[in-house]
Amino acid sequence: MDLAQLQRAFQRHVLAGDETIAAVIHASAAVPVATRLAVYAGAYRLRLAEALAHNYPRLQQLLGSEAFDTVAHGYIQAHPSTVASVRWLGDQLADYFASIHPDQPILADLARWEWAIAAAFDAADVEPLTERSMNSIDPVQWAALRLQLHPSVKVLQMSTNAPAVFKALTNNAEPPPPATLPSPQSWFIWRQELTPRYRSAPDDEADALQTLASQGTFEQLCERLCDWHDADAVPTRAVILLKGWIRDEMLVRD
Amino acid sequence: MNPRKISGAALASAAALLFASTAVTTATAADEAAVKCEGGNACKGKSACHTAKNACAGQNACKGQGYVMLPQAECEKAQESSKQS
Repeated sequence: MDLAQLQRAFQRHVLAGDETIAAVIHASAAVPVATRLAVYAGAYRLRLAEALAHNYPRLQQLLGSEAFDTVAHGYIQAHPSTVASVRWLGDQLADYFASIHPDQPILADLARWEWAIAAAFDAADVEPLTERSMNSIDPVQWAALRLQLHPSVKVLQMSTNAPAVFKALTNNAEPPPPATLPSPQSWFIWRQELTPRYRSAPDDEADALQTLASQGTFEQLCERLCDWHDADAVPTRAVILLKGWIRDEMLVRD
Repeated sequence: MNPRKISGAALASAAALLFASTAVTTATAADEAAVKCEGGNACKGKSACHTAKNACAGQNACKGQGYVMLPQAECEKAQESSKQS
């Protein structure tokens, strides 16, 4: 076997237990071929499981190491790693939880939540929008304005109390019992300077931010708020929301 | 036909004028999520031989265990034994 063939044979063994490589492995009576190969096949999965735990620290805390390991090994089998960086290992974990534990929706919610927190953490760095730059825009041009969300901003709909569980685990406190909400709650996750942040958002605010997320204009945002408020109250509500998003560094300059 | 008396564009300019003249001081409370900066593979590669039992990190064996997947009694048992060890 040339080097490329050796590497492929080794990979087939690690990934799928193919025995071709065994013929070229040196062995001793004390440490036979199977033991030697098992070190590498085992280490590959252990490292991926560990990387997955790093991407989902609160889920690991919630489930405990052993239960999390079982999930991790099942996940790695069901969704083999395809990206070179372990940063991206686990992008399907929420779906995987939904399939293996449909009776415990909090697990899928918590997975989506932690993935979004991690994404906010390493999202691109962009200069935030300031009140000063908004003030420099002619009021007649505001209607057509398309404000951009910071790359870290994510709106999540949670149907369980996963964020409360996350918060308790983050603070090393006893998490509340899992609960399904009567109706889904919107949450904003984003990064301010170097710190990922999150808060729940009322429905009108989530709707308004979604308008910006889908490249809507400020006029469309105001019309959207008319679904929730009397038209007379809309400008004030729009200003309060806008100033809040600017202060929280959720918007960026064009 | 716009069912509203005020157009979206008019609302937008009204907001623009208010924006310049209003100071909003109400802060909505946000929580911070601590994210560890250490590399996702900090302890990998130190030993090719590490096994499930000697993975280098020594994860919190019982913290939060029993919450979802273990019955409470088993968690308490595990907590007991981790205190003794």
